[in-house]
Amino acid sequence: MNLNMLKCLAFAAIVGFAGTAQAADSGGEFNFVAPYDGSILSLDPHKTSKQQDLLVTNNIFRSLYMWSAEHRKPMLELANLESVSDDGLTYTYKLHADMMFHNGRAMKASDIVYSYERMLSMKPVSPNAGHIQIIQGAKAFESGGADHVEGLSVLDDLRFSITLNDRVDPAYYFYRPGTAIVPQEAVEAAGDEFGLSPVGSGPFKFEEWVKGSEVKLSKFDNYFEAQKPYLDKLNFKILQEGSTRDIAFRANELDAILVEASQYPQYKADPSYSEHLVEVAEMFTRLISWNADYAPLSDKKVRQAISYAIDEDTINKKFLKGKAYNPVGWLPSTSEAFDANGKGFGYDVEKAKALMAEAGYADGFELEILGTANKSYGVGVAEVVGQYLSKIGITVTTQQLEGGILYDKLVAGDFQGIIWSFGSGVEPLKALKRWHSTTANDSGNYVKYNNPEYDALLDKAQNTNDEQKRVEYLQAADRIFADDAAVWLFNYNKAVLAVQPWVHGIEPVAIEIMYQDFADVWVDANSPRAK
Amino acid sequence: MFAFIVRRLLQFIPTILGISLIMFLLLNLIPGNAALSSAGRLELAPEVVEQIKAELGLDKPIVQRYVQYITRLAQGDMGQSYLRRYDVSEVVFSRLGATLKLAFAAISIALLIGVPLGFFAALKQGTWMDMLLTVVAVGGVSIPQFWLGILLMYFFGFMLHLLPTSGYGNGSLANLVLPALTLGLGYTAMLARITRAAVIEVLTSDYVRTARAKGLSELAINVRHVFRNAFVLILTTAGLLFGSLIGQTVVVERLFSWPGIGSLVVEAIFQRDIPVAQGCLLVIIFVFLTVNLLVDILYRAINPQIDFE
Repeated sequence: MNLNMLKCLAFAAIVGFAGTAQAADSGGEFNFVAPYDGSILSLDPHKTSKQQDLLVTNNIFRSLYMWSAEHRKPMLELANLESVSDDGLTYTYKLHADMMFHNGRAMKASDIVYSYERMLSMKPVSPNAGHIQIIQGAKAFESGGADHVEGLSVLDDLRFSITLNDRVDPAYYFYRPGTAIVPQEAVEAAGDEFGLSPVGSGPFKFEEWVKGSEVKLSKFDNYFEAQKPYLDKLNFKILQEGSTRDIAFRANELDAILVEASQYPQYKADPSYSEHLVEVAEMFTRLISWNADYAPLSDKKVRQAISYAIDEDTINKKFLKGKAYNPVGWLPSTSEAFDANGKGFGYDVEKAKALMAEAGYADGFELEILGTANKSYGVGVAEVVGQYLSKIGITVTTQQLEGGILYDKLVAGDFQGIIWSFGSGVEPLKALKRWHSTTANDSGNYVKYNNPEYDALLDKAQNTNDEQKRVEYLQAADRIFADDAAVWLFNYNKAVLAVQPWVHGIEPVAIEIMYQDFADVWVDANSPRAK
Repeated sequence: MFAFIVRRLLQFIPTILGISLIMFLLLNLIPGNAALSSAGRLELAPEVVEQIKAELGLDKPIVQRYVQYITRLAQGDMGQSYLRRYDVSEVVFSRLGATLKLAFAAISIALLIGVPLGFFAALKQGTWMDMLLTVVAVGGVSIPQFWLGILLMYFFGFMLHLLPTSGYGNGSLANLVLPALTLGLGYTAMLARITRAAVIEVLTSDYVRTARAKGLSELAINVRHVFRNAFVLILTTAGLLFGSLIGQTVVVERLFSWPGIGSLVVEAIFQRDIPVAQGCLLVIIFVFLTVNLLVDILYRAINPQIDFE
């Protein structure tokens, strides 16, 4: 199974990178999609954390770091790292000299400071401010106790330093599209309406936003990477309906689309498109959270019995049409600390029955699982889970709720089981810390997981300088978490983009496949929108 | 007439006030966390959620919030979107034009096709043509918009490449055709049925019999007496349909990625962006009331005997 997963990743990488090896054609127009629920709300990256918005702003703006699909981690984008202090807290950077904003002004070190301070001082608070709070003095500034962020210093026009509170890798915080660098004068001139006519330093300039329909961008000629971007125009069409996207793509109106689980088998079977699917295990883990306050679920043996009794491999293959990767732990296969030798529980009903008997629940019990209407991790899946659990005497009832209501129940602990999808990347230590006993139950550790052995391994990983040891500690912690079965691990999302044959440079971006960097994308002469 | 219009416009005020109160209460009583939704993500620290609530004014009692809302509304201020963080009026009015355009196109299709079909069916009452038109009309009313839209999209967009499959396309006519047809065909069938019934009723009236006895031609009878009298009912129905159309474009708007107010209001409710939902509903109600007023005025134009007093 793991070998297959790696093969898929390798294939996806080949598809993704094949185009960049050829000489790229310049020109042409690219029609992409904004496929998620809801309109685009704002193009001000500091005012939104919605994927639907950030997949667009990602190409108008640049952050200090950018996610690299090739390296599977964030890499420096706007600057070079000049030095790191001995205590590992102060990072000194120098901006690339030729970095320009779309209004024609060169980017300066003071823009970095302005952007980060803006996020912290916005009212209401920026949803992305949490990433900036790792900087020393950020919280004091945010609460009005200081007139600037102590850990941010401008050294000269191009050089600046950032001092952190703790020894963490700043790349994992400052790569986020929501921490993009903005030009002060453009923000102040536009006021509240900066998000309606954004000015960034990315490969594409903002042209037009037809609210609820599309956003049009055009090539930024002074982009700092030579000859890039290749495309003249880039359009994001807001298409929330999968069937609409499918027809528009097949009518060649779109150059790439997000493929839904129900469409996946058709695309896989269609020789015109099967060679042009970009697939990646996104850093989201689907699960059922078990409430440890519900007596039967407080027993590890019962939770393990549940994990043995459900055949997630069959559910993923049949119910989700193969558009998912089987899990072995919390960290997805694209995580740098993923345990390639890890094994899930497997499907073993007899073992499950034995564990139920040992726990004193041989006759089973009643269990309610809540979920949304989501086709990939909603009540539909919970119904299937219920069929499996009936074999070990557990009577499952399900209830479909709207996402906001479900979340309230999750935070309040008002549930027995909730099926959902949580982020499980990008930085593996941070991802695993969700289940650290010190993480508040209402802000991540909803299942009240508490295992001192697990905590100790994470603490060791935090304090070591040995990269290999760090990964070993993280993998060991992940194995403990999986074995404790505090949640039922269902799958890692397999995100799929169908790409037209004339498109090159689309990459398997594990953080969110829609966060494509169109600086590298080009279309050949076969495109109906070439030149 | 002028006094009638002024009186009706003044009636808008208590109507809108009453509806705004019900709307405000219902929207604000929906379970779910507007503060979290406004931040756009899960897993915020509880103190940050409280901070956002305070900044959005969600920590105040509901009565105080309503008084604040109405006071601002009276000054023409619909508030700020929780999620977009700019004026609700900007959000709502940027989407209203697309919905009005779609609704006008759909009702025009319904009137241009449905009324003649219904008229023809009534004149041929009891014949196979009437039966056929009735079957088509019932079928038209029954077809789910979602399914019809996909069929039209597949046939005209994918198979024939005649029209764009979806999108607004800067408001071009080509982009309007499929969504307007999808929305309008159901209403065409409905108007055809209503026209047929209205015309049959008029055809059996005394004045039509008298007109025939006077020796007027069938064309003159149909145009001068039958259509004119039946049209009052047709117009009333079309006016009401247009009003309801504004609020029922959501499926078509979503399917065709049409940037209208119907999809916006549903989206705002799901996202708990209460100010936007309130703004949309208010505008929809205002359009509905205005259309009804226009229909009443048109009555008079068609039939001067109608006394507004």
